Amino acid sequence: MKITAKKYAQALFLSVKDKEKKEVSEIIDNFVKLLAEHHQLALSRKILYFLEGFFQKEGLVCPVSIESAHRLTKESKNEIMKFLEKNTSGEIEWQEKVNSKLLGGFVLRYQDKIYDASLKNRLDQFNKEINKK
Amino acid sequence: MANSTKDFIIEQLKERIDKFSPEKKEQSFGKVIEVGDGIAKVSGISEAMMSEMLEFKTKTESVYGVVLNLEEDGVGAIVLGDSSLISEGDEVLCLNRILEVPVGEDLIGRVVDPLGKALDNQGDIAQEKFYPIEKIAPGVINRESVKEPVQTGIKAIDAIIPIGRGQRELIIGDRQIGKTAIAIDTIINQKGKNLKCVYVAIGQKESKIAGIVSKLKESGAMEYTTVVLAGASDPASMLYIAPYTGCAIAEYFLDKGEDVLVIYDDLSKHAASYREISLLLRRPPGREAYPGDVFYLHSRLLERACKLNKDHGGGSITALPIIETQAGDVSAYIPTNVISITDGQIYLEPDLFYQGNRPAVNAGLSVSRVGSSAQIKAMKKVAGKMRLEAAQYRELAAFAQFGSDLDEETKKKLERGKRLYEIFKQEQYNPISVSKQVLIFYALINGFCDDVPVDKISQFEAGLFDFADLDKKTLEQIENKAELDEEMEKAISHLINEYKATLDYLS
Repeated sequence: MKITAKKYAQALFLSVKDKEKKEVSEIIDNFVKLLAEHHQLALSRKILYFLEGFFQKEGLVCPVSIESAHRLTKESKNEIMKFLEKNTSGEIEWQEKVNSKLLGGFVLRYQDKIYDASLKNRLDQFNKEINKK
Repeated sequence: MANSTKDFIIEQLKERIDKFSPEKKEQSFGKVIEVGDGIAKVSGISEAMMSEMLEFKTKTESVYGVVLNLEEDGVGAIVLGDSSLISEGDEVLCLNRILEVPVGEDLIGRVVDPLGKALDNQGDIAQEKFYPIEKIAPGVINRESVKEPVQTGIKAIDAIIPIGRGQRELIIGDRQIGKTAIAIDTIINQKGKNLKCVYVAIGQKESKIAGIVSKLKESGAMEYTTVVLAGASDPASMLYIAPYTGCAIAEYFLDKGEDVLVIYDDLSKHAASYREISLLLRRPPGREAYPGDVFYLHSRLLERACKLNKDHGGGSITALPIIETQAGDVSAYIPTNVISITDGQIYLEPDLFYQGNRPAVNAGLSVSRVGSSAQIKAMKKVAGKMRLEAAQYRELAAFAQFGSDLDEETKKKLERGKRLYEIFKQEQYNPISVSKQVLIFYALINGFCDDVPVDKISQFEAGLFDFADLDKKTLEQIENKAELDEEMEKAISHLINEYKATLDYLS
């Protein structure tokens, strides 16, 4: 029987859940070896995607990425954190990126939600509105 | 003057800027995990709705798609555009609205793609309003029975298989047999009849459509017609949404209380494109590999054809779906489905076509379940007798092959039947007005054609029409008068006798 990416991810999730860091790295080593043996390394991207899904479903992690035009100030970072703590559960995995193309403001992504408060988005909307017949 | 124009423009811009308030809202987003063959699998977007629009943010531009499968770990979507621009990992946004297309008066006389974009190089189309492509059909309370005719201008159809405003009449037959010709003739005949037309070409060769559009332009029919084109080279997703777009365009006029005719050419290709999409989305195949909901695919489309009552505007949508059969097999899956959905069918037979009977309408297998309520009274009176004549002729013709000893009555019926089928022959792009149809049918059932040789019937008919055109009074009377009363009959008989007196080939 063919083992799907989802099943691999589920197996990995169950075996690493509630384990110590040291044990986890050993499990992952073995898992990658197993994938290589079965010529299934190509599935790794999908497995990772499903694995992330399992962690999120269980409320263990909450991946958050924030893109901003300029480096965020401490105050605004705290405000965003407050908002996230209110609306999400699990350990926040914070990723920050500066993207000057946004011109101003920020784009917040958490779980499967996106909150686009960038100047670029506003200008795009304005452009659409003004060009409407 | 120049200054005031400038001020006006500045005022307008200021007004728009003042009114503008950017939306700041939370949206669902996901990532592309698989893409190919016009299909994309998207992760995340846990709040996606069925038929919701998606925006694929590719490196160069945004490509749009529609949710078609809601699965455990993501959604399956069709891509409406160039799927080669999308790559794995691209961001996808939920747009929180069902797929909509622009509709409005500006679409009349234009050729558009299924997303409402102009294909005819005549500039952009003003987007007046947007209508969802999927909509629940009007309910029983809003409707009324079909009673006004759609004149196709084709004698065999208007007399034997009348079509009413709000009816769904299937045109079915093999390839190259004149199905599209009937539809195009019907559009051409609607000039001045207060009926907007929408022609939806699904999976047709673009050269064929170019020919049709130029023919429609030539005959002035593009003044009230919109063409929705999903060509043979377009992706299956475009073919799939094309008829729904056509219906949405028609619904705009319906809501204004107008009458609309929609032609779906053809639904077999539509079903095939849906099969392609369904199989790529890994839905289980059923009979002929079509998915289980292929009946619903067409029934929800054709159910939107309707005649609304006065309280709801009184408009109507008449649907003429076309189905192409393989070697005359009407019992295949899609033909039987669509036959059962529609209110009748016009069956085109290859044998008749090759015998030279064009349009090759088989009067026996073709039916209209709406019946004579969709005919003007004069036509009702002549057509009632003619249906009987046609049926008797078919029966007798088969019987007469076995023996030559026939009584006078039978011989007479056979002779008249031959003339009837001769009258049914009609050239393409040559629709005939209802008054002229009544005139020639009246001549036939009352024996005025009995002394005209069969091979001269078409000549006789053309001459009669020209003769009637000289003094339009009788024709106008037929069209305007509700009843074919004694006085009217006298006038018609007089006209025919007068015309016959001018002929030299009568014995």
